[in-house]
Amino acid sequence: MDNKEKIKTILLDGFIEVDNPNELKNDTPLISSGILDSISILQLVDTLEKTFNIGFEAHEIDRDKFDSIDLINTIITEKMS
Amino acid sequence: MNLFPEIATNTSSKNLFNINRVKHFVITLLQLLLVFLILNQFQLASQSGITAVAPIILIAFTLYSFIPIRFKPFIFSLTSFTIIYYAFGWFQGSLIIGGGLVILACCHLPLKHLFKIILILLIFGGLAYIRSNQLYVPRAVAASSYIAAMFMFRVFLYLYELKHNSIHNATLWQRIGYFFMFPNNLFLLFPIVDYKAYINSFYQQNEKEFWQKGIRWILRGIVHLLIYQLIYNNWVITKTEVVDLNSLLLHANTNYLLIFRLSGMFHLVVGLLCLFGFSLHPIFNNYFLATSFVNLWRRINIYWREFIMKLFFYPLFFKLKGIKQTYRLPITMLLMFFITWILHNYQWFWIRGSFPISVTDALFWIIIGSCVTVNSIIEARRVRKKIAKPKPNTAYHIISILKMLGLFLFMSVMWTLWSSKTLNEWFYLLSTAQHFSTQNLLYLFIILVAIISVGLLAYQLIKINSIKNLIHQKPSKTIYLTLPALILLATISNSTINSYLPQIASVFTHTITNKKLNEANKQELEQGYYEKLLDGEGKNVTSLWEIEVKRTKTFSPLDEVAIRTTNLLTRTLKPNANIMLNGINLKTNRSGYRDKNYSLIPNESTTRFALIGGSYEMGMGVDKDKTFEYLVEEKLNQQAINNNIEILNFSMGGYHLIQQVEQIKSDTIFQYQPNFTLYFAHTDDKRRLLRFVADLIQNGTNLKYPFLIQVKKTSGAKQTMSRIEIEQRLKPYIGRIVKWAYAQIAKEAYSNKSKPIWLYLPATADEFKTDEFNELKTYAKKYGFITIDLIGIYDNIDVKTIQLAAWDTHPNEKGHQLIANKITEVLLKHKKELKLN
Repeated sequence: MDNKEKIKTILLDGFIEVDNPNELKNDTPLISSGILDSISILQLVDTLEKTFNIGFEAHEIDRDKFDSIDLINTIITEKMS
Repeated sequence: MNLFPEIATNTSSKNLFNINRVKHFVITLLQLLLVFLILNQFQLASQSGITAVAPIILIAFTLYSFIPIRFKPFIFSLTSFTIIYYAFGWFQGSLIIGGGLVILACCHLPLKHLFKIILILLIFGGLAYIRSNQLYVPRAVAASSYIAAMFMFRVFLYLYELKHNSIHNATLWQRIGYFFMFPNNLFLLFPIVDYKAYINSFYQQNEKEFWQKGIRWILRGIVHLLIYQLIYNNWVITKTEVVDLNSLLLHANTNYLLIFRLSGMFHLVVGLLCLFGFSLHPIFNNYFLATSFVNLWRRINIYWREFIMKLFFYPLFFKLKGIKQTYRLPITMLLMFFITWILHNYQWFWIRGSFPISVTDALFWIIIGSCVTVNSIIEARRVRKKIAKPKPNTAYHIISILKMLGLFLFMSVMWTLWSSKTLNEWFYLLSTAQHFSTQNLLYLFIILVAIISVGLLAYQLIKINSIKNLIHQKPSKTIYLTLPALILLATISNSTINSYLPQIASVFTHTITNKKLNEANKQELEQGYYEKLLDGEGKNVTSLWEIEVKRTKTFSPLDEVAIRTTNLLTRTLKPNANIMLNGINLKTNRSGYRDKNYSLIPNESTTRFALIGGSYEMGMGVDKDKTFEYLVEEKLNQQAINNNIEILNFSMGGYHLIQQVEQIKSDTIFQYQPNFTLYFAHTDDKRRLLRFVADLIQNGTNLKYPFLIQVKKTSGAKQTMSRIEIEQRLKPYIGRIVKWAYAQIAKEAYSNKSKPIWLYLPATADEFKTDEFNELKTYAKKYGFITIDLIGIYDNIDVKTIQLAAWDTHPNEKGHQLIANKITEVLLKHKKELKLN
């Protein structure tokens, strides 16, 4: 399972409810569409830290970095490398 | 160093004079012109001076639109500098610009981040010292307010981004422009524009889109300001008028609705920024439609929330990583609201010059913070949200409407807490809710049904595809809506055109523009005349804050000549004093009044008037030889053939009927043997008297006269009660107090062989009340006063032209001249009776 798949699973398990998993695409806006709010972002960050064994900093919590699976993947990849 | 480097944007500077582009620019410029016309004609945001600098903004916008992008930030800053110099002059303007640039330079010193913060805080400490009026440097005080308005929050966002190195491409002029945003020169209370959003949004959209988006936001701001003015001029009632459940709801709801002014001003600001290429995201999102506390927190003043989240909430949440998850969120949220409370006071300090921490203020934020926290925890437990939202049915809509209504009512009640001076006052206000009748409840039920019906209709309407499309249309496609709307508003707001329109248009315009100060604000404003400093009430930022800033510059040194007393007079002036009061010479005679010294015994050929009155008659704000009392004396002497006319002025700023009874019962006045005792009555005298008697009771002053002591006893008003309760208890007795006072004045005058004259002079800021006038005149006649009135004296005159300032509605020189002419004219009509031959 690649990182994007893992992120999608995390989102579907704990944050987003869909009838069909294909509804959630890699570029679906998460924050700007209101699916995730500031509190759920923090909960998501906690889960991502544990899953990928990485650490985030407060200033990284930004709409520009968490607004889609693609963007989340980018920041995780940067941190893992 | 390249002062004008290229800026990476999504818009090209080529083809600036492309015909299509020019066409869109002209339409935008035309709409902006209409905006200024509407603001001017409806007198919206007139205190801000926005219409005064409209030509500068229009020229700047035109120039800005036809220069290459790299020069735009320079022109943007230059516009701000021009407005600053235009408004403040060279000295004060240079203080503001120089001070601002110094703070910006400090952010770039080669120091550690922590030291930069300490340095900035030290500078702010110095500014705070000046702002709190510790030194007498009035021009620096005003400059400190403006510097703070630009830097108080934005500098911390700026430092934050510098620390995290998240903005790499900002030019020098963009950085300067971030602090010197020209709308900030007009509106001290300014939205906290995020630095990153400011840089990243610059010219990233098509010009056609952001120009029209700006116009749409400005139009929305105008609509909010019109709603505000409609409510403010027509429906707001004071706390004293709250007597039952319905009036409590009216008071609470209308006061909460006054937030329309804040959102109106902020929309104007963000719209103007948008026209200059900063396509920022919305600042308010239909906050009255919020259905939960969290939802409201997300919709109301979004920039503030984002600022708090970025600088405090996220860093705190990460700092508390070691704490158990269950406690981490609530602790962070409560800390965040604590900071919000402190920062609201911090902001208020820069605007008002004091740091008014109060129990009610703290309780307001504790309750709001707790509600949002609990609501967030509940929401966090059911985090899974559906991408495709289920289609709501009617029951769902009704529940949503009821939630909105419930939240609106809750916030309205919280607003009353926020604006109460003490908890006692708030509890008393809420206790009036126990008084209601079946009719009251029926009335409320009908309103509830009406709101639900309108809400359901709105839900049905937004389901219609054409309306849905209209709401989500690209800004550039909405010119056909905004342009006619602006033309319509500009047309009906024009008084000449308005007179030819159907009556409904003129009624609409009248209710909006009839800008008499309403009762609630009049109470606030007048308190400032009679007291050295305001005592920190009126926290709803929607009303008098602009006036407050300007007022602190001019009102304060009266205490140099005033002597506070513990008796009914409350204060007197020092005899033989000679001071400059706000540029006006104030000289008192041997009796401590603003007049020359007269001999105790008048000549045989002299007709003497003893004038008793308040600040109008004393001539506050104008030189002695420009007061109407001086001018009338002079004019009458020019007209009189055999007689010498003397008007002895015993008036004193802040004196009301009770003090005037006290004056007249002392020897001071009648030792001069006046032939006439000239008493001045004014519009709204009963309300002023009510406030004064309430002051006496609240301060525990000895009421001295058996009649007043009996009124206090019968009304049940006590010193320990809240201010509103005292006023409400006294209200039914005010007519009787006036009657008693008139009787005392007449009795004393007649027993000293002085004929009493009752002269009614309307105040410039009050609406004429026929009932009150008739009541006062009846009392005056009953006790043998010669009655004279100056009703209609301000007809066909723009009263603003005869007032000292917006924050001081006393007559200016022109006003005194007008009053003097009128008084002379009416006195001469009574020539024989008044021995003026």
